[in-house]
Amino acid sequence: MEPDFRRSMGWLHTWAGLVLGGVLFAIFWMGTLSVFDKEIDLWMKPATRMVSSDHALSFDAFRSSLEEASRLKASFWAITLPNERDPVLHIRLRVGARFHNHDVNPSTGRDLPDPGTLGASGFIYPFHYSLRFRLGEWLVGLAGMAMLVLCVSGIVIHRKIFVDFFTFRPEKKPGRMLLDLHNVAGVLGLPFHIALTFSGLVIFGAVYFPSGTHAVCPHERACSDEDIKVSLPTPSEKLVVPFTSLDEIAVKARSVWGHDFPESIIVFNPGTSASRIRVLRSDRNQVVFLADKLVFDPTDGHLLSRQPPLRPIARTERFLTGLHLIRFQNWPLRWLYFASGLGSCVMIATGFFFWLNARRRKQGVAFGFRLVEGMAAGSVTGIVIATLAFFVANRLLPLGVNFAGYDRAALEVWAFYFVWLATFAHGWLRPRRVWIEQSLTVGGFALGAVLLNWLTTSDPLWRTFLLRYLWPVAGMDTLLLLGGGVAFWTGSSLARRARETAYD
Amino acid sequence: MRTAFAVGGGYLAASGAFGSFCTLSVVAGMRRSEAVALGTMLVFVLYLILILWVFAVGALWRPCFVFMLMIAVGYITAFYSGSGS
Repeated sequence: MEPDFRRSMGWLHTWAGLVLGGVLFAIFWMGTLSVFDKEIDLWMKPATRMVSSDHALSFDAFRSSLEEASRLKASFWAITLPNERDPVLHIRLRVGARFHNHDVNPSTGRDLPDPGTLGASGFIYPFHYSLRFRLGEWLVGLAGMAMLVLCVSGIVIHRKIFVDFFTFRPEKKPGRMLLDLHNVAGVLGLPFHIALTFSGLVIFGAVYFPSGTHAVCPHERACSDEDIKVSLPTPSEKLVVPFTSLDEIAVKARSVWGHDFPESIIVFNPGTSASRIRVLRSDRNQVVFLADKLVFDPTDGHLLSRQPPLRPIARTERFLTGLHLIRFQNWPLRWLYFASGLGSCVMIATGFFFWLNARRRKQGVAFGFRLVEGMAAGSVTGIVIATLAFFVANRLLPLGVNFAGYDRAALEVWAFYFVWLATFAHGWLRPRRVWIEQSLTVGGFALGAVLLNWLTTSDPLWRTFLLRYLWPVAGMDTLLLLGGGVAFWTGSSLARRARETAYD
Repeated sequence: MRTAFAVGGGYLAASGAFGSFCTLSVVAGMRRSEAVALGTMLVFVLYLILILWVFAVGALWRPCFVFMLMIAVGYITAFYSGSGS
């Protein structure tokens, strides 16, 4: 073991970063994209690009769907209204063990065609916290703890934090420049790295550390009933009860909350005597993740129960949750999250590059070095290329396509994983050149995605910029172009430098 | 070896401490949901400190002893609260 504290922290920083940096990059990259998940959804599901209706929507307009659900003996029926970021109305119901999802055009009341994609909210966002495999959230948790360890050890091995605010020397040797960039991104973004990592861990606190809940609540059900006295009896009697007006309930909910409007209404066991209506309050006006609920009786529409106000500590925890989930609506802050997330990605990537750069001269052909180089390529530029391949596949695959038993949504995901694996293989097969080639590939794919969006949806950039409801699409295309430009520039300057050193 | 001890041992120790913290706070009159919420926020900080300690310390017997103590206290409080309620 290293003799003194700073040295031991340096050792820890290097190795924890090397081993879990790839996972961390994947989590931060997907999390950064999840900041704009609804906007990416709009890009990936062209059928949902519509002007959001200004007039207040009536819940009762969807009564026939609710009656249909009670005929099917659904265990719940839920309606979520469109909002500023999502122009589509969603109806979800569960019949037996099956969940049904309907995306509805709010102005016509008709179902939208099957989008044939998971979109960002169905693929990128779950990838962020579970990596999309069983027990993946445990790996995410481990990486999260590693991130905290890296932050602390990074501060310890650093002598002069404040000088680093203003230190960036691109004209110095590349190793020095990479370290400067790593330090600037790390130090400037430090509050963001720590706050987001910590709050992310706390959200999954009950999963990672079940001992606390087990210690005080031997039976988990009894614990949740302590504060919220709502019990949902199972549908035993099949008595059909008449529904009260959902709009009246929405008005009542609004009068209880003051100004906030309900975000969604859930009818449990519709059509039976055990039916209950739950109204969820929108969290768009506060950071604290309240998820405030009211429960009404469906026969006469009287208020059965409401969630008691949160106590201080629980409120603090919900504040952390809200800080991470960004359910509140504020565009400048949302962009700040996005920019800070990209900053974290830059920090992780430059950490890898610095490690490689410091060792290339001495051990550039060693097996261990080439292993790390391939891993770094696959986990940094590789996941970016794979994400872009996901977008390109989304625009290339025809609707309703089915290949080898996989539907369109699954094929897009296969494209992602296939390309991602290929980038690792590429990194191992072509050391050094890999960075040039993958940078250019990022640029090509980004440009291709923008072109394909134009060709397949007839929504080119000059049109999407002019129409307010298409701004999310315009924003995504612009970022793709900017990112693609940066990737081309990086790739070509790396290629130039490689030529210069070859002539030396 | 040290890494496995830091990650695994630290986890068990933090988890044990979290359990006993919740039990003791509830015994001291805190509401259950509040105790768990506070513990959830503190346990990650504790785990972080334990991991760093294992990597910073020269000889491992001290963290080893403290971890075993924390795990034992966790089991003891869990046993007593389980039979008490």
